[in-house]
Amino acid sequence: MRSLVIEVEGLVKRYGETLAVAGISFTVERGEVFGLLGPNGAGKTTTVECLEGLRVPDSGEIRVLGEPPSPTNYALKARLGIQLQDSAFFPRLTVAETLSTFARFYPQARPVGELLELVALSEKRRSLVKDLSGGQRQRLAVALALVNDPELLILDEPTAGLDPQARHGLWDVIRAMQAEGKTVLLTTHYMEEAEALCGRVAIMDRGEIIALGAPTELIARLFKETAVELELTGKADLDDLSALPGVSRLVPEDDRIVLYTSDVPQTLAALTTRAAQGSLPLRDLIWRRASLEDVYLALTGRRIRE
Amino acid sequence: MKAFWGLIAAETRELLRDRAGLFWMLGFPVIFILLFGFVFSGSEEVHFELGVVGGSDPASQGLLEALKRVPVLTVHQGREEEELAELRAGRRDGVLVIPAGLSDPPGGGRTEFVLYVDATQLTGREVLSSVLDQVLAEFEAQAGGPQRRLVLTEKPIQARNFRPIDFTVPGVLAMTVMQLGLFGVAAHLLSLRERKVLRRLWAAPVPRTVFVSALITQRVLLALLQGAIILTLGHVVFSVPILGSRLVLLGVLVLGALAFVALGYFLAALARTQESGIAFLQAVNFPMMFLSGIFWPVEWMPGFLRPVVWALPLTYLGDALRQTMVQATPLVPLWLDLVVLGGWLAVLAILAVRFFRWE
Repeated sequence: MRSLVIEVEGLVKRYGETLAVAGISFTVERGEVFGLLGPNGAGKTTTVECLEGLRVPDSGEIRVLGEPPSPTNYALKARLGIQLQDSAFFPRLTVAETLSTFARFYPQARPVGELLELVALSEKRRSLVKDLSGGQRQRLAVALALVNDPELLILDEPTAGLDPQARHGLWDVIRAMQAEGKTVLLTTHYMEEAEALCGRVAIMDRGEIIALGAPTELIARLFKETAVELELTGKADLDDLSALPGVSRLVPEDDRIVLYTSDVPQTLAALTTRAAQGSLPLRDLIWRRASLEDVYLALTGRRIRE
Repeated sequence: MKAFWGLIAAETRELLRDRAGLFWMLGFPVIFILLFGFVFSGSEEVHFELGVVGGSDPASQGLLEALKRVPVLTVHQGREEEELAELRAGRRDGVLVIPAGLSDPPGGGRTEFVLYVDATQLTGREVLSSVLDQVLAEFEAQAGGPQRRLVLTEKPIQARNFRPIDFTVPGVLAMTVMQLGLFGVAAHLLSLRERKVLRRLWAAPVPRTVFVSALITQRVLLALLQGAIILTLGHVVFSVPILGSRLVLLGVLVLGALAFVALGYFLAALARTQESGIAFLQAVNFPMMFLSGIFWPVEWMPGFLRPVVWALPLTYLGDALRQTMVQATPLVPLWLDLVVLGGWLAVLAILAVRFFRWE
């Protein structure tokens, strides 16, 4: 059995003049939870749809479970578990009917009761799809992805628009799938989600992969420091701030500055002194361990959610 | 096959739970026929235009006078072929042929009167027969008893004497089939596409042919159900007959449904969004409804519209249904209707498969 579940080499996809994916390459191994991370429009969904065979790439090589995906590769589609961004099903079928209808599309299927249990929708089994809340619909979409007991799960923004409790519920489902030995590829623009779930992530920006690796590794590679975020009410002297004790790097934003420091007490002391003297228009200040958010910020100069 | 039946079951549940959709597909044609039928039947009074053939001898003259005294009859005299032509043209309700030799001495046998009637007039011809039976019985009695037995034999012939409702019921059936294609298929597909239901199906290993054939099968069965409801209603409430072969009628209905389902697929593929799609469907619906001769005869339409009339597929479905149901005078021969519908089906099916879009 091959250990590479997904192989992508030089994938390019254009929509007219727009270059959605600009020649990316990555591989995913069996049993991994792999994250595609980036803001809206970074090319995550296009990449995922090429893997699912819903879109045909302009150039590049793709192998999924050893096969080339295509709109008519039904044998491959039967082995994939797919959750599409805001897709839907017949609004007047019940949750259980929807699952059993989908079960008929595949050679083998998990029992409906088990799926409902897994995504915590058992008490909604008789509700019509149109009467479900956004979070319940999202969980149904994930249950539909699991219906054929797939080898590879491809989830596009599975937790978008969910409240924190529902999101953590879905994290548990994904961890349970990993425990069953399945491979999971998910897209997200929640950095903390990628950090919590993914063994490895590819950070995408404007159709390219700008960083690839384990979250902790990526953070450690770029940051040995702690991040200090300053919220300002006016202009600050940037040269002065970068010269503060311990500060190795500074990223200015509109009304905010992020400092990276190896000596938190010294830097804080210097900052509070300047604020007290009135030379720094400080409204608020937090310090935290560097995260994937900082990796993205450092690489692009932008935040991921804007 | 599992996927095929799964989709049919899903589409059927979806339909049965959609009250508004169900009303438009099943309730609306019923209300349409009832309204139409009652509005136009209110003005019908019992009166018969009777053609009488023969009767130059004294006895026949006496009978003729007796007929003229019956208030509900208007008697026209003429030669047999003339009067039968009038009957076929719908200007007579019946033609009575008085046999020769009525004035001859009775031989003790039976004398047969032939009454030609319009086959489509189920209730009308019954009333006319019984009126004439009564006139003959009185005449027999006056002529002095049982020497002579006068017998009335009814001969139904195919005439063009339609009541408006005979024209309307096949028309409503044709309209229903057309709207099933436009709204039951095209609008339905647009809504599934807009909600990204089609997209999700596409991601599953369901070949396009399975999805398309499941919806076609389900919708054609629905067309047959609609047909059964409309025909039963027409027959039970308004005595609209089915004169032709039921098997041919079934065939015409299936062919028509397939052609308009294919049209629905094609139109859904053309429309970009659901909103623009619905406007587009109405723009197809209205000319079809009013220019295909399904509610009034094609002859009523001005000459400059005729090319449009002949271009619309609904013209041929309406004509084929009317021919098989009430044996109306054909616009074109039935086989030509079927060939044109089959041609539309073939072309639309190819276009629909070529341009079908999941998203």
